[in-house]
Order: sequence, then C-alpha cells, then structure tokens
Amino acid sequence: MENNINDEIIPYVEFADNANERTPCVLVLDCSGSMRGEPISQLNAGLSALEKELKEDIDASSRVQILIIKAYGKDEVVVSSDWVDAMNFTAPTMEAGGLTPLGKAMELALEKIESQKNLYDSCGVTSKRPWIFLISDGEPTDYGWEQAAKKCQIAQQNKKVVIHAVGTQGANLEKLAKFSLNSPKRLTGLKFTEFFLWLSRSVSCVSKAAPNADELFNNIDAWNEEQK
Amino acid sequence: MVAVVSDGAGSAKFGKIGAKIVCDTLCDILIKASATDIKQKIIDAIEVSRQKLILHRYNKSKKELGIIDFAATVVGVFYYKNKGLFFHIGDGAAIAILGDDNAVISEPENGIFSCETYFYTMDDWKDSLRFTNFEKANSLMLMTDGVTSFAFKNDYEQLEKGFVYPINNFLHQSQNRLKAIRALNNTLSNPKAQKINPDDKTFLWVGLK
Repeated sequence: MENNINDEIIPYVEFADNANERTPCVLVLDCSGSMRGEPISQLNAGLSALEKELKEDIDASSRVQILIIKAYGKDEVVVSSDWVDAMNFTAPTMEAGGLTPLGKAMELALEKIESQKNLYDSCGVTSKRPWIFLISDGEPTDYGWEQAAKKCQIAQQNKKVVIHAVGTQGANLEKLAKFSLNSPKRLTGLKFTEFFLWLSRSVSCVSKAAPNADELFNNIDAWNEEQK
Repeated sequence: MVAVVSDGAGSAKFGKIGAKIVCDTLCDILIKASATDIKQKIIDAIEVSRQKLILHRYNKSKKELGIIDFAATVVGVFYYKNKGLFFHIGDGAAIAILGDDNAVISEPENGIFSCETYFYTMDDWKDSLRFTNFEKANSLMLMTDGVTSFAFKNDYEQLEKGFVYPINNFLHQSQNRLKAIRALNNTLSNPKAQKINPDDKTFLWVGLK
C-alpha cells in the first residue's frame, strides 16, 4: 500500500557489528597534594560518572578501552586502572598527596599505548588512534619533564596518539601546552563530572566513526572556561 | 562504463569539494577514453583533479601544499567489453560479483589505525593507488567506508554474504528503479545501521547482466 512505500527496505539484509574494534582512551591524572579535599572528591565523582555513562552505552561499553595513570607522591607514577573494556571498568578512588610527575606519567602513557597496540596487532584487533587526556591543577615538577613533553608532541605529530591537556584553576596551561599539539583547555571550577560526561559522549562517538575533532570540541561549554 | 565514489576526509575543510571534483573529473575523462593504456589514463585523470584543486578558489596558496584541505578517497571502476579494472586510493571498497560465492574485491586500505587512510591529495598518492582486474561480472558495487564495515568480515578480506547478496539479488530483480533506490536508501539509513556506524554512506550498484 502507498502508506508503506516510504518504509520499504531490502529484505534479509544483515548488519554485522565489528565489535572487535577498540578505541583506547588514557586518563593521566594529577593527584598531587594540592588536589586534596574538594578537588579530588570532585575528580572521583567525575570518574564514577564516566563509568556509569560508558556502561550504559551498549556500543561504547564494548569498544572503548580505558587506562588510568596517577601522578603523585615523590615522583611516583602508577597505573590506577589497567586497560579494560569500558563494560568492565570500575572507577578507582583516587587519593591526593605529594608532587606532580606529569612527565613520567605521560611517558608511561605512551609506553602503555604502544604495548597495547602490539597486543591488538597480535590478536588481529583493529583500533582507532588512542586519546590521552592529561588533567592537572598545577604543573609538572619532575626532572626532565620537558623531554617527556617533546616525546608526546612527536608521537602526536607521527599520528600515534591524540593528546589533550585540561587544567583546573591554578594550572599552568603554558607548561601543560608543551605536552600536546592542541591548545590546552581550562576546566571551569571543579566541573569534573561535566567534563567526564562530555568525554564519555565524545569517545563513544569516536568509537563508531571518525568525526572531525574540531566538532567534538565545539560542544565543551558545560565544563570549559573559555580563554580570553 | 565508468563509475567513481569518493569520501571527503572528516578532518579536511573542503573534503566534500575534493570528493566531487575527483568523481566528476574521472568520469568526464574516462568515459571518453579507450581501454588502451587505461591505467595511465586513470593516473593522468587523477593528476588533472589535483591540478583543479591547486587552482581552486578555496586554495588560497594556489600551491600543491594547499590541496590537503580537499582530502578525499577514490574508489572507481572502468568496465569495457566484459573486462573491468578497479582503481582505488584509501578506504571504501569495490566488489565485482561474478557468480554465486565468487567475487573480486578491492579492499579498504587503512593506516596503522582504523581511522587512518590515504587520499588522492597526498604527495605520495601514486604509491597508494591500487588496480584490480576482473572479467565478466554480473554486477558491481562501489562503497565508501560507512558501508564497508557491513559488507566485509573483520579482516576485510571476506564478504559478509548476509549483507552483500540480499542487496545484490534485490536490485537485480527489481523492476522499478525508483522503488529500488528508495528501498536501498531506507536499508542503509535504518536505525540499526546508523547505530552501528553513523558515518556517511555512499553505495553504488551496477547490474551488468
């Protein structure tokens, strides 16, 4: 009948989902002493929101992989949450204290990305270009951080990774900018939850297609304090 | 017969323009070309497309450097007297269905990540240009990467028969061209397809027998 004419589809067509493809996403988190109190509490709330959002997205939960690296202590860098599919991701509870070894943390991020890519290749798993989000309320304090920052820029230039730096109030954006070819963003207040909600939507979007990155960053008003 | 599909790079400001120029230029030139030395004619036609980009009003530099803003892939076919040639730069794919369970494929080509590919606007585009010969096809399919994830298995070397053959059979049997186009459009834009891959989808089918 004519009223069904616009609904006609080709019968028996199957749409297989390439559930093997992964979109790796790394969070490098400054958990130095200055993050104590409300900042770390808001960060943890944001990570919980990220976990919830990704798990509720059926497609992203099986495609996105998360890695969390913590920079803190006496130049200490640890993997707080190793590579895991978003569906199995449990937000760690971060604690704050010590210094800000962001150079070491970013170097670890690059190493973990490379080893994960090798694992994907050996298993025949395709992947999108990994993202790293560096989040800090200050500036790197470790010796040799500039060399690490240079390595990050080179990796991005060679299209091995996409790096974005996000600083809270008080963060030294000029130094954070050295880790990336993209200009850093300033978080409004302690809007970590808004940021992680945006991140989950963005990485979900990337896991399905290859959008223009500029378009993703057009929609950051919920958490970004525009730089004048 | 000549057919070309092209997909502008998401990151390229004028990718759509680059895609249109290469499709129009290759079709205009190759439809008048003889089959003799056709590979060189295809190369020359792509070079003409690149020249058009250099001179394009949106290319402020008027230099080759500026054409990267028009980055686009190329998936095309030249078919004459039962002999066919796919020409292909980047992702997307071409399929010549020769019979039941028998097809010749020009696969997508990606970089080390699935979101990377090659474009005719790159300096070393000739290194990425691939030719695939075939003969006596029943039908042809050209598609951009929004469709290849449905048309191929994970390794992109085998067809997803559950996708390719129902479409091929339906279009072969269809008596009404407009109805067939509508059904194809509705099928590719259905919610399940969009959910799995919301990318733009360009799909061209040619029935030869």
